This record gives sequence, structure tokens and C-alpha cells, in this order.
Amino acid sequence: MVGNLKRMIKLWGIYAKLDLVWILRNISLFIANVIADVVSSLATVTGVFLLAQRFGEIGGMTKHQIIFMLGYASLIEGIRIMFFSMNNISHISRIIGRGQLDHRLIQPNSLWIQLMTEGFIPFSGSSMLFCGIGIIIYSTTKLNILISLAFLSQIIIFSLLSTFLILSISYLVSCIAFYAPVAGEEVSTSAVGLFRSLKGFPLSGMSFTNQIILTTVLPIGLTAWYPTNIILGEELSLPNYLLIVITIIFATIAAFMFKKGLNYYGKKGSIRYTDRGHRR
Amino acid sequence: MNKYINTIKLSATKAFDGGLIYILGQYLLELAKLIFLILIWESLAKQGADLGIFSFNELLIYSLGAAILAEQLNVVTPATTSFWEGSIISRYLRPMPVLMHLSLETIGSWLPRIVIFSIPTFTTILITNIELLSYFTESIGHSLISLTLSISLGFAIDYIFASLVIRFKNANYTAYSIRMALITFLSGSVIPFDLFPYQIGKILQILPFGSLASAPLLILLDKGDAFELIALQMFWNLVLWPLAIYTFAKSKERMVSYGG
Repeated sequence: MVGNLKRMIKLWGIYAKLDLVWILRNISLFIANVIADVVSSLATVTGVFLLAQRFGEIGGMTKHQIIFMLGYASLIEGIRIMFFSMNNISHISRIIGRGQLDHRLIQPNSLWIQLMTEGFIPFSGSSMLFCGIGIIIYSTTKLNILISLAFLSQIIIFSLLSTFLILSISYLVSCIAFYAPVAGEEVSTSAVGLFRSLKGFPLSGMSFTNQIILTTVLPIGLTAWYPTNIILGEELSLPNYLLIVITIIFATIAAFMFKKGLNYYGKKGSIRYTDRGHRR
Repeated sequence: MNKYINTIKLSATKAFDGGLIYILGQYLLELAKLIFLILIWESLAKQGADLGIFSFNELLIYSLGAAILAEQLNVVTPATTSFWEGSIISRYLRPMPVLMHLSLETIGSWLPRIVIFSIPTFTTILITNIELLSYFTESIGHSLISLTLSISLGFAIDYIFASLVIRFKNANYTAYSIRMALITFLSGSVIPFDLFPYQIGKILQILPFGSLASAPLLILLDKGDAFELIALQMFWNLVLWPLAIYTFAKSKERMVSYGG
């Protein structure tokens, strides 16, 4: 366990160095990428922000609570980009569908360690994370919240759980790519895109049935709306342990299905490349 | 004429190269977005919010129109991706002007979405709320003129954008992300301009992006002055098409692609 952790820290260091080298090689491209990340990610929350600004509240959530929620949504996106966006780690169906899992199976590290470390881009991928932190700080001052250790711990724990929930669902649907590599290559894009586009929507004004569906079967509400309300001490009709339970359930199913898919992949391999190395 | 139809056909069937799952994910995502937006409008209507010039049904029609016509209200031709992939070179070897070829490919690429997503979504929502049908019959004439102008303007904006991408060289993904984010927001395809705070909506309406989605959707709902909105769309078409042809022609000599 300690050995694995040391190995992961070392690998994170290597990927951080590679990221820094990439920035130093072409600063203008780096700046352009940062702008693209921030603009395209903020665009997904701008609509709700403008509605909150115009109406003062949506479904019982006040303007500043909604801004806090949008900050949390940006934070989650920032964590995903910083830790899992390089080499399509959060879009694993691309790796599976393109037959690139082979590249990882011959490495002297276990697959899960590679998946946990390979997507790390702390410099070029940090802009969204800082945006999220900035929006959260702004909204907490407007909400007159005293930032305590307990408050910070809640944000950190919930944001990690929300990130792992998104990754679990991305990995779960990506298992299709083991069996149908061409058709399934982009399914993770739709899964990640679903959360990216919709997590900033407040569910407070929706019916209880819709809230249940959107926090269990299709848990978009667990990636911003639900944790925000818990952190801000708002009363919900949903249990306080829902996020952790649903994350564990989805992570377990994803791990089981992924292992099953990997066994299939081990037997059948990938059909994506011809003998001459061209992708079909 | 056959070569045009065949290009459209080829482009339409290309969408299924990766199988149905390949494209279904995207449509499900768009359907989910539409449902969420409708639920938000419902929440606002329930809390008694002032929805400006719109009623709840009108907002529903606005979002439905924006969703089923998404590809027509924000035209994305293969110009940018084919430049990035290096495949644009093959368009110069075909017996058809490049811009014509790219435009026909785009029209062909719309067909699967119209059949699989737009028609079923439109029909389902109309069946569940038959009152909405009247909106599509009252101002259909003006709406079709406006939609045609919007599509035409969309092509012009995309070719201008493609010319910029050619100048950016390898940063085309970056430019593409910014463009998609900005147009979605600035065209009024998600949130109607009238629901924007302050006077932002009024400014956005007169920009060329406002003529892409907001104008045809407002005309469909019989909101705003149809004559004024169509005149503005014609103005932007007259200004931006010559610019698109000029910038694209100038960019041809700058094309450098490594292939993606």
C-alpha cells in the first residue's frame, strides 16, 4: 500500500514535469488552451448564473447559493481536468475502443496506478480548478459563511466523491467499447458531457420524484446540487449519506464490469488496427 | 445535380459508420439537456417568476425549437476538422468548388439527427401538449424565411471561423472549443435574450450571433418585429458572406496541416 502510494507520488511528479515542459515549449499555445478550457467550461454554468441573476432565486435556492453551486460544479470539472483529462483517462472508452489499452498492459505499473496518475496536468489543467475555488470564495463571503476546517473538509470530501462518481459512470458506460470498439469509442464523451452540461442546474424546484431519479438512477444532482445543499446546511428530503452510498454502488459496478470487459479484451484483443498498423 | 445529391447521401450515411451507439449517446445528451431546461422553466413558472415576454408554453416552444434545430441554428461545417485532420486536401481534388462541397456535406450530416432525434422529439412533445401546435402554424411563413437566412449566415460565420483556425494552425481544437461555447451563449439558443439580466439581451440581439438562433425562434413565437429581425439577418448575410469568401480564399495559401 505504502509502496503503491510512493510510486503514485513519483509518477505524479513525472507527469507534472512533462506538463511544465509542454508549457515552456509553447507559451502561446498554453495560454490559448487555458482560455479554451475556461471559456467552454464557464459557458456551461453561465446560463444558470444569468437566470439566477435575473430572478434572484430558482426553486427556493437564492442567487448566492446558486453561485456557490456553480462554483462547486466548476471545482469538480477542475479536479477532473487536472487529474484525469490527459491521455483520455476520463474518456476511457476512447482508449479501449482504439485498442490502446495494450500500451498500458505492457507497462511495469499496474493498470489502476496508471489510470490514477497518467491524466495529471497540474499546470496546463489548473485554470478551471482555480475558477471554481474563486467562485466558491466569492459566494461564501456573500453568504456570510465562516470558513472553518469542517466546512473545508466537507467541500474536499464531497468534491472528491462527486468526481469519482462521474468517473465511475464514465468507466461503466465505457465497458461497451470492450465489446463494440468502433460504436463505443465515444460513449464516455457523452457520459462526461452529460455531467459537464447539466450538473449546474438546481433541482430544488423539481418534484420529489424527479429529485430521486436525478440523485440515484441518473445521479447528476449528486455532482453539484445535492452536495451544495448539504454543505450549506439546507434541509433536503434526501438522506445525508446518499452521495457516498451512490458513489460506492456505481464504483463497485463499474469495477466489476470493467474487469469483465478486460477479461474479454484479453481473449479477443482489439480489431481496430490492421496488420500494417492502420486504424480501421 | 446528381453529384450534389450523392455528396449529401454519402455524408448522411457516414454518420452511421460507427454504428448506432456512436451517435445515440450524443442525442440522448441533447434530450437530457432539453428536459432539464424545461424543468427549469417549470420551476420558474411555479415560483411565479416574471418570465418577461414569454409564457411557460412559449419558453417550452423556444427550447424545443432550439433543440430540434440545433445543427441548423449553429452551423458547423467539416471545414475546421478536415483542416485539422489534413483531409481538406482531398476536397481540392474533387470536381466541385470546395465551399460547395463542404456545405453539401454539412447538409447531409444533418439528416440522421433530423430523423433520429428532431422528428421523434418534436412529435412526442406535441402529442403530450397539442396546444403547442398552433405556434407552428401561425407564423410559419416568416419563420421559414428567417430560418433560411439563419442557416445561410451560419455557413458564412463558420467559414470565417475556419479561416481563423487555419491561421491558428495547430491550436484549432482550442479555437473550436471557444467558438462552440461562445456561439451557444451569444446566439440565444439556450436562454432567450429577454431573460438575461440588465440590458445584455438587447445588445446580443443586434450582433450577428443573435440572428442565428434568437431571431428565427422569436419570429416563430410571434415575439418582436419580424420585419426588423429579418432585415437584420439579411444585413448580416450581405456583410459576412463576402467576408467569408474573401477570408477563406486568402487562407488557402496558409494551410499547413500535420493530420490528426
